[in-house]
Amino acid sequence: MKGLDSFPPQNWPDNVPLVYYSYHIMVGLGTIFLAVLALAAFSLWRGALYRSRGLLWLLMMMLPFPYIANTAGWITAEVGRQPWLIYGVMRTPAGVSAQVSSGNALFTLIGFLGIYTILSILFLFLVYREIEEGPEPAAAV
Amino acid sequence: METIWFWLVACMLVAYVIFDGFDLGAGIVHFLVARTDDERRVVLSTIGPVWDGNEVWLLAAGGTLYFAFPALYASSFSGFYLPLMMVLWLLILRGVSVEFRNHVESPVWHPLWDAGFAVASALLAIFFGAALGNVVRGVPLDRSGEFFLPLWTDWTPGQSPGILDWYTVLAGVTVLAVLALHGALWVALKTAGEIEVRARRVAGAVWWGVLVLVNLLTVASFHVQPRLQASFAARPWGWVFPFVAIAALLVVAVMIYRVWERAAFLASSLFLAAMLVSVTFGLYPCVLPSNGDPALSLTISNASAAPYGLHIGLVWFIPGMLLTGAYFVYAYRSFAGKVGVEERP
Repeated sequence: MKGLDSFPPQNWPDNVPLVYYSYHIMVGLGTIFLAVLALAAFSLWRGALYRSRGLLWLLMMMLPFPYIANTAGWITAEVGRQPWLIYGVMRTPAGVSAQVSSGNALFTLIGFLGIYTILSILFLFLVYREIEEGPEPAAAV
Repeated sequence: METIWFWLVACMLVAYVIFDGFDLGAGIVHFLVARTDDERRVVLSTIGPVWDGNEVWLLAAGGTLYFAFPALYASSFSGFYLPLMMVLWLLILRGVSVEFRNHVESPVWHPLWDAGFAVASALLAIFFGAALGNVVRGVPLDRSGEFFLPLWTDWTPGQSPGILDWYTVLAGVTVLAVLALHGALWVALKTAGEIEVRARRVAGAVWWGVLVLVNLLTVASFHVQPRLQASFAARPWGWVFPFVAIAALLVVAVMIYRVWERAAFLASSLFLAAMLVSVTFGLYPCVLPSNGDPALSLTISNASAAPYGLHIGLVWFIPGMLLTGAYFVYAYRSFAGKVGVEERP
């Protein structure tokens, strides 16, 4: 197992603490998910899950964390790959489109940020409405 | 091998235009054929189950393009950067409009997303047409095979054109009309009652526009891109494609008159395919002509991937396409038949 110091510094990612922490967040959260879900599965098998308020609250509060773990994982992959675009073959600056100016790239970046912000707001609005309406009542037996 | 992939990429694009063409067309004619909120719901439900799968053919075309002709992909996606991003945003707007429209029962929500759907579909048709026009007219490629076009310069397709000039705008408007016809025929096929009657009327009216515009565009194309004339002269058997296109367009008119809706829609699909194959045949072996020095054009020889890669790709492409074809047949069969106004999803 090779440590970071066995690679020359010009081949290191430019933000090593970011890679370190995001990787540990991802793995840590993943382990917590495994543990909590194993507990919940056991409880369900015993028929006790729907009666245990603590476990149900915990499951509900865990809702945003998969998104966080997912994002942390992608940050690990993308930042950790630096300075390579293709490992060992091509460095990131070599892959830039020569014809696209930085102004164009900034404009489209802002455009995407704007679109995703609007879509996120719409998403939250619609999901909130769905939650408010609640589940469909079970068919009468 | 390069020729095989050239035609495979062309087939992916033809499939996209035929399938997503009627989704876009339904959007273009949305406000013309559906007057009430319920009728608009019906028009959306004609494309509802299939539009997402149809759009995937665009990704298939882009993917096979990237795979088989990476230099063309790199050059054209950088050179057409801003319009491409706008196409992406319009595709997002179209998709979101279709999916969000029925989620809130409000007299503000429904028309908002109906408008989004219609406007995005129309703009996409114009953009795609302009893109095709740019490819046919050619772009100022430099020695390294790269270019960058401003949105417009002096509106002429001369030495330093912009993305918009009279030729590409003509191409955009033509594609708008052609897809409107295609979409109206689909809506007529999939609906009954008032909507069906209106759709058939719209198709009949738009047909005349298509006739005029396609003829104008063909004459303009031969004028703007001398390669087309040279290709057809060198391989005269290629004239079969434009003739099939003309015949298909005439069949569409007859089928509209006879009210044989499925035949009309299929003839429209054949018309689209034959038109695109004609253009592709005219450009072959060029994939992106240079509007300056012809030697700088991107062709299937200088833009393709290595032969080994193309071989492997073909091996994987065939089972992939078989699966896709099988799924498409299954999906369309499952939703065959007409949508009624009384049915509420």
